[in-house]
Amino acid sequence: MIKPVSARARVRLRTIILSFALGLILVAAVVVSAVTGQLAISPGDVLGSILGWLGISTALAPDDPVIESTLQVVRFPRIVMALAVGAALAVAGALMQAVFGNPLAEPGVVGVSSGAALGASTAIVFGISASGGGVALLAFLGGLGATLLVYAVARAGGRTEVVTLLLTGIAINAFAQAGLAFVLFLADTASREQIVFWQLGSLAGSLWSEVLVVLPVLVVGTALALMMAGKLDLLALGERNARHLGVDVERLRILAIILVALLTGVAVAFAGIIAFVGLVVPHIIRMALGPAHRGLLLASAVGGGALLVIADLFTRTLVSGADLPIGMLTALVGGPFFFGLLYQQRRKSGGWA
Amino acid sequence: MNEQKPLIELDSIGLALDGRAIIKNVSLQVFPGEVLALVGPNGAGKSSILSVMAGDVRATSGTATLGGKHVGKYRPDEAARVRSVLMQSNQVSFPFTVQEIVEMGRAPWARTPELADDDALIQDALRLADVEHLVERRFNQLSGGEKARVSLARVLAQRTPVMLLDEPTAALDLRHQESVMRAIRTFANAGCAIVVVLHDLSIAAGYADRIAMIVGGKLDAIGTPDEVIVADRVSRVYGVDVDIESVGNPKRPVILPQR
Repeated sequence: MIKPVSARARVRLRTIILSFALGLILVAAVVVSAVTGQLAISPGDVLGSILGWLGISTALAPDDPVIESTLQVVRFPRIVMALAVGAALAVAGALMQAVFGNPLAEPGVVGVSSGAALGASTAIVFGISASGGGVALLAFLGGLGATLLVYAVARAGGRTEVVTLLLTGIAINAFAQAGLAFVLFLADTASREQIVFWQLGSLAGSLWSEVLVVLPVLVVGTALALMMAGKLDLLALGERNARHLGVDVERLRILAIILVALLTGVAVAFAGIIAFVGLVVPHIIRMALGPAHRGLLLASAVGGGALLVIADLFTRTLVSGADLPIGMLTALVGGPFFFGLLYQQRRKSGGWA
Repeated sequence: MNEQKPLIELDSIGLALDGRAIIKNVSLQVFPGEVLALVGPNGAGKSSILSVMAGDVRATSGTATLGGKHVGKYRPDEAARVRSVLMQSNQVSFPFTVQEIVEMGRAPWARTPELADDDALIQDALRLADVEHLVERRFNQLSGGEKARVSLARVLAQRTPVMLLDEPTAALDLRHQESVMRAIRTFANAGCAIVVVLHDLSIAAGYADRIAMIVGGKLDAIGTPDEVIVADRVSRVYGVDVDIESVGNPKRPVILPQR
């Protein structure tokens, strides 16, 4: 009687500690990110500006209009965008892993991001912009197409073998890259440059109007994902067992896949390809909290947001006066991490199959 | 017993996969309080019969009903409160703990009044399957026999009137074979209708009320252990000469291959 209760209490305690730690990291990252840049701004000014934005005038409000506009027009939208994109990618990763029953499934690795990128570049080149909405829509459709393709090809008996998953990813990435190359070929010089840099991933020049597209998708997507959490747990038992426990497996899967495409699509549309967030974040959270999806999804959202704010801070500050592509940075860190995961899994199961 | 309505009823079930007949014209009934053992050679179609009962596959011909209702007519969540299923092999994708796995057995009862009994029923299931000491371990790190018992505990925690168990004793040591069969008996005595696929004919004879011998997708015989487990039939079906002794109290047949 005592054992399981204490185990559960320990998990709860760990959840609380991790939530605090993540929250703390998040706040610290936001503050450091807001004060750092070509124009140094004091934390007091940041707080004052946030309060002012909320309609509370305080003595802290920045006197210098340059500081005020730097925060409100440049840094805040960029930070919020980093939070939203990071959270969306991490939640999408966790969802995808649940659907595929495989911790290596990730929108970037599997080619969903490339699919979304193909959709978005098509929109850019053919001017289906429609004030950003067209790019987002086509990114979503591209992502959805890629996800459905992986889903149809790579699954067997509710599980996806590592090899099959990765090979499917290679195929889809290759196909999407070919499409991208064709679109680039058709593009004029200006949109060509736009696409190339956008593909590398960047949060530079984020606008509030864009944030307002990403945020609702993130909030609704995460909320829906959390509502499915219990059923996603059951899916870990395999699809037949999940059905025996009352889960309408097909419906759950389709819903989850649409969410993955939505979250990835909207992130890719405004921030380009930022890979490995959906792989690294849920993995670390799973090690700390265990695999139950309610905590995993929530903590992944927070952790993904924090990670991208920090990563974005590095892109702005590592080389002074230059904005490095954030996708490059996450891939630089995520690549070796992915390699380590593969190695670990391979040693554990004694082979690829 | 037979005055009650059957909880499981198969009426001339046939099943063909890829044009190959897996089950041929099987009819049987399972009543509340009864353990029916399905025995027969490998590949005879025992698991397929279980799948039809569970509603996993739709029979090509004939009808299967659970609690008087066609299996195909249940919504997934309704079905999960009527029948539980133990599959032959059980894997888990992520490192869930034993406690979490067994708790999943209660999932069909979320948002029902039965939810209140969750903790007691989970403890009960853990004890009956003798996995109480494993609750904090990760499922993926357990041995085959431990995994099988944890999966059984999950099924027991589901507390459904119909239980379909595919080889619950296959990976177990002697002690756990006996304790698991006793647990199954306990549930039957409480009114469950239980179908259990078994390979060990002596275990089937020792614990089942009735035995159905499945051969080549057909029902070769169904009846009490004494009626079904006879030397002639066992020798014919398995192609092995056997002696059958009657031992214990009450007396039950025990199979001894001639060596």
